[in-house]
Amino acid sequence: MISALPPAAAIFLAQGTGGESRSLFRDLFGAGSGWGSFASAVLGFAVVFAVASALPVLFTWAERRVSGRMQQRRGPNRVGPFGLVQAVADGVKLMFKEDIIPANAERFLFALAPGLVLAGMIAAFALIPFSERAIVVDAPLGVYLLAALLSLQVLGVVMAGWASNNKWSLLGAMREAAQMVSYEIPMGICLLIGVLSFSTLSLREMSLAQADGWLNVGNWLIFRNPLFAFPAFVVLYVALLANTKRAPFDLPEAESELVSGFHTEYSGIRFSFFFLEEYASMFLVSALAVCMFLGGWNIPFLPGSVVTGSVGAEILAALVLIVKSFALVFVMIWLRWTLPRIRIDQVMNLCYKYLTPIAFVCLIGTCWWELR
Amino acid sequence: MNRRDGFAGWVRNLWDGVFSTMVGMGITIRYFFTKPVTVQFPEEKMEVAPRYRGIHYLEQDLCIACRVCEKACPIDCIEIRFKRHPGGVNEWFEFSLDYNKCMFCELCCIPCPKSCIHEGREYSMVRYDRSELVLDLLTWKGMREVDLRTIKEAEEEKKRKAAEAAARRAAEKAKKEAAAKEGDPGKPRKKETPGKRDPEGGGDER
Repeated sequence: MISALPPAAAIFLAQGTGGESRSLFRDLFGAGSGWGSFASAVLGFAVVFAVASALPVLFTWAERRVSGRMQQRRGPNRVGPFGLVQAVADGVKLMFKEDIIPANAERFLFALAPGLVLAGMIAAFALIPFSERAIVVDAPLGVYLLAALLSLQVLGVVMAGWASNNKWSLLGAMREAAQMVSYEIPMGICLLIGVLSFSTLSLREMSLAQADGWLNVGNWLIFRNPLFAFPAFVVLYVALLANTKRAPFDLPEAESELVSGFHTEYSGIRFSFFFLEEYASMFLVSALAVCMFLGGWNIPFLPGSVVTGSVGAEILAALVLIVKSFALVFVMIWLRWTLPRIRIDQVMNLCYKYLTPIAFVCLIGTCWWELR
Repeated sequence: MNRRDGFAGWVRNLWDGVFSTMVGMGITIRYFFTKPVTVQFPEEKMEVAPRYRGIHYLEQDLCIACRVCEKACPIDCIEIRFKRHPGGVNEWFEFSLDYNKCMFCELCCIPCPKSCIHEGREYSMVRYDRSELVLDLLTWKGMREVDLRTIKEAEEEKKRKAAEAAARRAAEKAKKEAAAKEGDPGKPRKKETPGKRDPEGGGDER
């Protein structure tokens, strides 16, 4: 329950920042009035929470099936058709497990950490524009807010590592902090490339700006500015991979060295919060990359003007965004089962010696490209 | 050793990183599109070697209940109970193998005069209780219709033979009496033995 409050509050507050922003939920309850925006925040939270809890169910299944096939296995195929309900069964199992708090743990922080991690992730979902109007909060500072909410995870993870009173947890948390703080630099610069290309911080307006063009893909950032935006997209993707603690950047959990890293001491439902966060944020960061670089909800080869306006068009647009994000999530899974985990010094090397300079070159190049 | 310093080394490292990741991803995606090699065990089973020694099977129609297998078994895991009926028909009660003990040495199959006991290719013997591991190899127990018919025929045959013998004896007796009247007593005939003995538990006929 603790975890439910911060995202709801964040959505409510973020709505307050929206001056002339439009969203389905605000239209529904009449923007402007206090109760209207409160009701739309509640409904928005419900929708976002449902989406954010349903995605991990799908992704854990996908991860296990894909990894299975990549290792010539089948993966889970017993619970439900193709094993689709496996994640639900696992979730139920986790709920019934004993909730252990270590004797010397810092009880309050220990309990707060998973909620905080999950809260940041769920709140960030409110900022993703699924279509022109299917967006819970169209914050004018969307990109900024999203980057802030993504870095909220670090706080929760460090909190968990510290409160567990366990050396593995603490080491994992320290690695997480080092990794996240480092990778926010290339990530931020790459986000900046998108921001200065479209001269807006709103993800919705970015997606709108990428409509039309040659074959309806010409205005996507990676095609509009292929020389600099494409490497920037790759750098952003790697940085986001590090941000979500996915392999090969899963040093914070590094099970061969740190047992289970920052969540070593967590069990039952508290552990599942960390688990949910990891899988939901896979989608979150993919959606962010899609909105900025891959044209958001715009349908390739189909002019935007053909399908705008109707409710069906909104649903189609949302599906397109989801499919694009799923493709990026698939690449994440693919990478995880291809690459071994890299060492902490290699992680830092990659960030400071490769990604950051490349990101800077791309930033300067994009400046030149836009002024050309 | 490659020298990896300076800007050229940086570019080289970058290229190596990207290229090797691509190669690795190519390998994993190739495996992604291959068929899984998993055998879904309880439903599917792996083919075992042709001479695999698994759970026995008995060709019951061929079996003559000679008990050679029972005697050959070094750990006495075969238990045979049957009753022999007229006409050479065996009424089966039990032909069980205790797989708690059986070591699949195949020594029961080698001496079988009819080659009717074999070690099959079935290997799965998961049970909830040890007592369930004593498997009865009989596919049919007791007697079948054809056996009953054989027994009936055999008994009719016996009766017919007995009647014939009786008739012959009567005829001989009459002949003897006739001869006795003539004052010529014949040699006394040895009495014919009846059919077969049928002890419970079968008989060894060597």
